[in-house]
Amino acid sequence: MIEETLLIAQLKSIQTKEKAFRQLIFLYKERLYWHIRKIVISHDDADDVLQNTFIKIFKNIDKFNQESKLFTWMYRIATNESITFINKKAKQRNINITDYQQELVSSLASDDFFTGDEIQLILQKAIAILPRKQQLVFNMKYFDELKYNEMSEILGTTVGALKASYFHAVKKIESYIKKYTD
Amino acid sequence: MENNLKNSEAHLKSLFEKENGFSVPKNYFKDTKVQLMGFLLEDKIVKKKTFSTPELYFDNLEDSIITKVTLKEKKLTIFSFKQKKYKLAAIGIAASIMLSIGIGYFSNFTSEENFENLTQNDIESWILNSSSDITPQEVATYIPFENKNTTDFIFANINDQEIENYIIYNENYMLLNEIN
Repeated sequence: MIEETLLIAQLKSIQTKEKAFRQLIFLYKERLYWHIRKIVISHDDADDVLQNTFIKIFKNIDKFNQESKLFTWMYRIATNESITFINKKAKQRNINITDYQQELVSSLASDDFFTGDEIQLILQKAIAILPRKQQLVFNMKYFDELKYNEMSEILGTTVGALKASYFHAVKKIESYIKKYTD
Repeated sequence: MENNLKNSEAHLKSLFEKENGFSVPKNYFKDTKVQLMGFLLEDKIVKKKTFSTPELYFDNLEDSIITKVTLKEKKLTIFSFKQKKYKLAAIGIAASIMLSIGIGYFSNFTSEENFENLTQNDIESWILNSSSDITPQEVATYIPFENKNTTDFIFANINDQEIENYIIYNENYMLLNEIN
C-alpha cells in the first residue's frame, strides 16, 4: 500500500493530484461509505454524501496540515457532511432531527438494501433515538471498531467523555432491546 | 499451628504495604464495564453488515467521483442584468418581450409614456407582476448571441448561504453539489 505521506504529497501536486485522488478513493471509499451509511441510512443518500465528501477532500487537500492522520481527517469530513445532510433534510421536511431519523429507520423494513433481521431492525431503531453524539460514538466504536483516541481526534471530544457516551449509549440500547425482546 | 499461620500472615502483611503486588491499567475497571456491556449486546445481536449496496456500486465509484470533481472545476455562468454591459441588452430583451406579449397592455400609451422613458425598475416590475409566465429560458432566447459571454459573470458576489437557500427553496438538489 502506498505510504500516506507520499500519497498526501502527490495529492498536493498539480501533476499527480488526479491520479493520487483516484488512489485515495480506491483506498477509503468503502470505509467512508459504511460510516456515512450508518448515519444517513439510505443508500442513495449515502452515495450523495460520499461523493460530496470526496469532492470536499479534493478541494481542501491543500489545507490538510497533517496534524492528524489522513483517514482521521477524511472521517471527520464525512461525519460533518453526513450531519449537515441529515439536518438539511429534517429542515426541508420541517420536522426535528430525531423524528426524521425515526422515519428513516422505519423505512428500513422495506428497503431493498437492508438485509438485517428483526433484531437488527430493533437495534437501528434504538440507535436512532440516541442523542447525536452517542449515536456517532456507538457506531464508531461498536461497528467500525475505532479506538477511543481516533474517535477523539475525529469528534474533537476527550477520551473520557467518549467512554461515558459509549457507556450510556450501550445502556440505553440494551434497555430498548430488552423492552422489545422480553 | 493455627497461631503460627496467623503470625506468618501478619508478618507477611507487615512486610508489604499492598495486599498483593498486582495492579491494573488506569481506568481498567471502568473500561471493562463498557466492554462487558458491549459483549452482552453482541451476545444478542450478531455484529454483521445489515446494510447492502447495489451490485458493483464500489466498482465504478472512482470514475463517477473524478467526473464530478472535473465538472465542478468548470465554472458556472450567470448573467447579471445589473452589469452595464448587459443593461442595454436587458432593456432590449424586456422591450421585445413586452412587444410580443404585452402589446395590448401598452396600446393606450401617450406620447410621454414611451419605451425610452421606462426605467429598468418599471420593466422588472412589469415582468414580475404581469400575468404572463415568462420563464428564464424565454428571456435567454432574447439575449443577443454576441452578449453570451460565458466567462463574464458575478457568481462571486453571491454567498454560498444565499445559493444554498435558493436551491433548497426550489428543491433542485442536483445543484447543491456545485456549492463550495
